[in-house]
Amino acid sequence: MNRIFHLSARPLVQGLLPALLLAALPARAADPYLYWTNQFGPSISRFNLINGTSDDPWLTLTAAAMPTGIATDGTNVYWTEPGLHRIGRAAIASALTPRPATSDEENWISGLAAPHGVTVDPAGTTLYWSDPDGVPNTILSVAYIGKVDLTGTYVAKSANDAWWAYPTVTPVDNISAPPGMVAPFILYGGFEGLTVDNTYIYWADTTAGAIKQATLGTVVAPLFDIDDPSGPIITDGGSNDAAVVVTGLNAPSDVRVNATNLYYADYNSGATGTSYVGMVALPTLPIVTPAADAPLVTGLTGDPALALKGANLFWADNLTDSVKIFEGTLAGTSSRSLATAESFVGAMAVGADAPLVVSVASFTAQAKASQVVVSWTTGSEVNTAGFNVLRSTTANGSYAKVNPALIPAQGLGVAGASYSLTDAGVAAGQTWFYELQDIDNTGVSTLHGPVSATVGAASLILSFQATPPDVFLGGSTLLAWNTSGSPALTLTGAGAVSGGSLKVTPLGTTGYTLADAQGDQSLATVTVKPFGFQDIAGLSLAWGSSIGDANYNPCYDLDCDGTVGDLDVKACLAGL
Amino acid sequence: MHLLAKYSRPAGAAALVAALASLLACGGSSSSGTAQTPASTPATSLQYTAPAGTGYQLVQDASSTATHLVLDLVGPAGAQIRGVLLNVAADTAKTAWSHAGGTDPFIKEGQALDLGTGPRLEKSQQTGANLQAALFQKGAGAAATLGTGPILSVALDLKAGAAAGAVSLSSSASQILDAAGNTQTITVAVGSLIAK
Repeated sequence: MNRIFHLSARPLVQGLLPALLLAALPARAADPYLYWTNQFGPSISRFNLINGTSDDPWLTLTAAAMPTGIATDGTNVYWTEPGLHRIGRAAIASALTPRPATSDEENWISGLAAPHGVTVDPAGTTLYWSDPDGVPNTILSVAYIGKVDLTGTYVAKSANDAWWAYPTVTPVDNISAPPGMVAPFILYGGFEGLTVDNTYIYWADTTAGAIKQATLGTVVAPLFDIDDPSGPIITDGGSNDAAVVVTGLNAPSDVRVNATNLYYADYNSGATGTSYVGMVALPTLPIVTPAADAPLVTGLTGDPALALKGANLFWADNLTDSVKIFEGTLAGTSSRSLATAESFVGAMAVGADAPLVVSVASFTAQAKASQVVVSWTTGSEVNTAGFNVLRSTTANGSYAKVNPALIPAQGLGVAGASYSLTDAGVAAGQTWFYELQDIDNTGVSTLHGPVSATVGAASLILSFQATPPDVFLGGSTLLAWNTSGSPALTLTGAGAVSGGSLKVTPLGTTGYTLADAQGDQSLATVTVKPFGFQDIAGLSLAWGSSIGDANYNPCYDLDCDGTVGDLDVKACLAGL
Repeated sequence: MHLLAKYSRPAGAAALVAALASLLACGGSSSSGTAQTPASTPATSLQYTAPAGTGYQLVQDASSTATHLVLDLVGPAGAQIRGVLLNVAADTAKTAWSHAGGTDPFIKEGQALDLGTGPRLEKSQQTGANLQAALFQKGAGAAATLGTGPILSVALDLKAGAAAGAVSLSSSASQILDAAGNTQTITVAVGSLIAK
């Protein structure tokens, strides 16, 4: 049932949601960081995608915490501590780094079993976590996904009041569970990483070797009464059953989605370099056999962690000797190493809805012959989809797009890029104004400029060349030109010229400049070299030939009379 | 271990140097020739031994005398050429390029090429020990077919008071213009020359 529903509903929902959400959802704060958990640190580190600096570590955690999942809503960072059965929370604005996380921060939600994955919805209003161990010896002793309303306010409770009583752990938190907490939300499988978009929740089910999906709005368990752990809970999934959207995997560790694709990390056999990141297109859901899809990133080790932001994908390669954090384009065109993690990376998170951050370092327009070259460079590009170049005849006039399709962003986070566009659709003798429009991945755009360039009137000199361009000392060459109309022309060393050609006998290598009255110039350079013994063979072959003959070579026609005659031969030999 | 191996090599290196010296002393190049003759009193004659082979080479002309060596440039019989540029160098401490008997200061035209009338593409130039000699036909007429006769001749005179011994003589970067009108670099084999 759900599969049928998903297939029929997704295109409609996806087509309508963006406009509705933009109007209805609160804006999330900008979060420039990429976060990751160092499981054996135990700690949390972060990398600023804007300025390229790292806080490594940023927060140090209690020993045995084993921080695994991590998420951000732009204000706070949330992480799971399966080793201590809880979820922590800290404000991203914490300036002091590194610093120990406070007890209140680490005990934000406690009394869980072994929470692994954690994620925040795009609106930043709900936190979801996976708890594959459930809570032993309780009615929650099954794997589940829980959620909590982040917009609620905390209510102080007693020091020993934990969420669900975990039999082998003495509750230590003094922070009450936020109101609106719903757990279990979904009761299935061995959950690891999870993510949500505006409609669905996706999770990596390591036990089933699959990526699963459920609809956020329909699969809601009965509210769990926090004051009565034995109270009503969700029963078997039944109609809450989840769809399997990717199957045939080994032990998927993480999953991310954007508007078009689903990305998953698959922990393979455990051997070095056998893990990978795969991708399937969302329209092909709900059932996909990944073997048909080319892996996006291969050669990884351990449980790869994923993060997704705009046009870029981030992944962690848990090599035994050097755990690396990478950033690459979704197109797979380039990648780079961002940082070296201090220990095994459990998960990564990045501010998914951070506003466009693109710094335009330069933006220029330069007039060339009958065209304008528009160039710009960026110092950084975060969440940038691409650029448009707009043109107008006046600075404040109506601008029209020059490029037929969006110019894709090429930069990687803090690494900017250089761009150039040649606009040949301009008329001469006019000033043209250009604006640069950058567009982020949510469709928000920013204008830069305008800049202008004045394209001069078309040159009256259509062509100008020397034949031959290389002559022997004492030889002549014919300078010839074509013009539009009969403009007044001047030639270097000769003054006013007319008639379309002029024979010259330069004594050395000379550049001849032909200029018209409006200042257009054209250059022809004649190279002069002495006749040498090595040139006699060519002279002998050309001797007696005339223009049109196969052996005619104007280099040996020193007097430019169209024939390599005896006089030319004597003149050549005289130079020896 | 590495240091021991490194310092055990001088004997081998000495053998290599000796071999190279021996190789250099023997000549062996097809475009140059020298001979081992002890230095002695001033030489009174030049003795030239032509190289082996049938390619382009310098051979002694019959008009040579004891102190005036005329060298003929000959080529492979049957080859078709339109001209030649000969580059040859000799030890000017013992010898000097001299008139070979033609109209040019250094070149004597052979029988192979037809230089025609009017201006002739016959030109020579001495620069230090080097002599450049060019002899080319006019235009794109029929190429000449080489026989046994010389293409051109050049001459060396023994300098008065020259010490007896080997006289270096070599040729490099010589060219021909072939029948198709293409310039080709050729190897001109040179024999050994001794001042006696």
